[in-house]
Amino acid sequence: MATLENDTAAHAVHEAVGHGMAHGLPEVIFGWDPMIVSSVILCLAYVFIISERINRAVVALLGAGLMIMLGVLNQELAVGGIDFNTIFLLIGMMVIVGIMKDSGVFQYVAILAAKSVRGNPRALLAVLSIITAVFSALLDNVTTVMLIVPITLLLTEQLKLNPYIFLVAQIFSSNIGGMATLIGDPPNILIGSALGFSFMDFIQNTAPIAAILMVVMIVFFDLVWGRKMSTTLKAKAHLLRYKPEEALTDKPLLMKSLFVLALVIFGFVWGHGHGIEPGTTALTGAALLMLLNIYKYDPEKQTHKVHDALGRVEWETIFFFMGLFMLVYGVEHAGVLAILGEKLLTVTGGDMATTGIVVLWSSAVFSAIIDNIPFVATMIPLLESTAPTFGGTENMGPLWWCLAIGACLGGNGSIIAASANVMVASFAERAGHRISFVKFLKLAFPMMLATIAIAHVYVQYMYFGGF
Amino acid sequence: MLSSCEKAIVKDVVTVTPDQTVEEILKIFKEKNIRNIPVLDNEGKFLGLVGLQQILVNLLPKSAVMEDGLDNLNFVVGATPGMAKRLRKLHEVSIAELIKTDAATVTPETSTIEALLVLAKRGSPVAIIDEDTKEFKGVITRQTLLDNLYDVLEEIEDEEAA
Repeated sequence: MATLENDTAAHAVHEAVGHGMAHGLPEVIFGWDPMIVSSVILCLAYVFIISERINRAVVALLGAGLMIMLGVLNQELAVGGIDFNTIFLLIGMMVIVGIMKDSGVFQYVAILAAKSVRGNPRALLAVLSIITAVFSALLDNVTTVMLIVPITLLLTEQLKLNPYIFLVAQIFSSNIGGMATLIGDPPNILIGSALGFSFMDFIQNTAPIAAILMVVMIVFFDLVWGRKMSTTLKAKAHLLRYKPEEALTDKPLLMKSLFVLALVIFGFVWGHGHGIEPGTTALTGAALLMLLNIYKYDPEKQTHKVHDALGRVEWETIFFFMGLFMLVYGVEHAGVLAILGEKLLTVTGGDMATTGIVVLWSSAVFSAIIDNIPFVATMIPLLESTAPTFGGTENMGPLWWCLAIGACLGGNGSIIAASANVMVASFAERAGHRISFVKFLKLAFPMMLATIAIAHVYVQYMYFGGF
Repeated sequence: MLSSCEKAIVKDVVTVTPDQTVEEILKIFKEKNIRNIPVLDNEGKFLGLVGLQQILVNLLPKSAVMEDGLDNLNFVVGATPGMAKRLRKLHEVSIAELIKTDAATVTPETSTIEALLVLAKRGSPVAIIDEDTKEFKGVITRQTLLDNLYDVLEEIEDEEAA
């Protein structure tokens, strides 16, 4: 996605349109300005995505279709705009986790943890948060909360506790935990894929701040809520009789999934130095796990099982990403993002530290208001367009980490800021413990700003030579 | 020969109102040996069904019966006394809270084959309501529909014999 090439391509389009001889190149209808057309499409798509009145995948695909129909892009360019590394990584991990979750491992770990703290509510709040964070770092956040929330609701019901604060803590833990790794949170997948960062790059840059914030968060939740929680001896006794091993419904499946997951994570770390991208590793891992799961069966049953495994992929998310990539590529191709990038540099004076801090805070606030995925997808090419000022994308590391940290933490700012939050809220509602938008916002937005303030100190010392 | 399901309708059906309690309907279930009961408002409009199924679901933790909830509860040990106590608590609850509002309905004009399809797909009984007034007219059950088919068979065989 080198900026220079895009500029040239955009100019070529302008010229071709001007001379009315665009062979195979897109031509904006009625001679409209592609910058305006693409910006209008993107802004409208954003409005619909934020309003949540129309499904986001449908909005993104329609917007992408318009980008092509109105001549901002042609199909070839639009498909070229899709980051298939991200798409493959998402699909691969969704298949692996989809198969793995049938083993009951998540319930097992949660019950084991609850028993290990002997049903103490205060300690339970902390351990469930830690489990959520660790799983979120290794798996995608939505899956993690889908598996941890039901068992949390059962445990809190058993202990006669209000699950509200447990669920809020899990939202925070999933977003903070997800920030720690390349595969933990969609913004990281997007950034890692676009810039070629390795699994270890994230461990070295975003994991430390994730660990710090988890400690801070757990202490805070304990001081404000945890220490006041109590339960009866009888309720605890009930919980202590739970048999976690009974939750493991399929041990061979668990072994296979853990083996493949370990192999895939090793593949992420090793593959980076060997030209193998995470998308390839994840998708190959998914194929391997499906193979281990089906080889014993006859072809008909195999088809059935593979159909089932692929059905676990959240296709809505996948098509949302594909549509979004094409949408953003439309504005990028028209040269809009380069102009916005210049504006950003004017504001920050082209200073790396100032730009980094602006990116950190603005990504947090924007990600809290809109879904952090479209925001990051737009910010990546925008920041890439500023590369010449900073001596190339390879020197812009701190800016990418500021973007990743800001967007992931911004996901805590409101109940709609990240997909995992929406999932927790929907579970809470099903169980009769509604998380209201305003009530969550009042608690979460200030907390989110506090985590960004801590992250500000962190990036200042890590990258910008302290204060 | 009628092609609609009207002949299979049971008109004399025990019904309840939403303000009645779980305890009351459990008694009715036992006495009448039925598993589902139509709930009507004071004007005789059909609101939905309440059945033993809804009672059972309410004895379980929400975390297990909600959509995408826990798949199994094998790991919970010694929960029986708790469930028994829950049942006692549930006695006082008004059935308004348990009504299955998405229960399938058909009208007296619905064809027999369609009524059979609804019964096969959605289970028995299926409430019959007036299309315009939504007034409750009775129910059809698997048994009454089969009985109806036997009647038809008898007619056919008589004709063939003649």
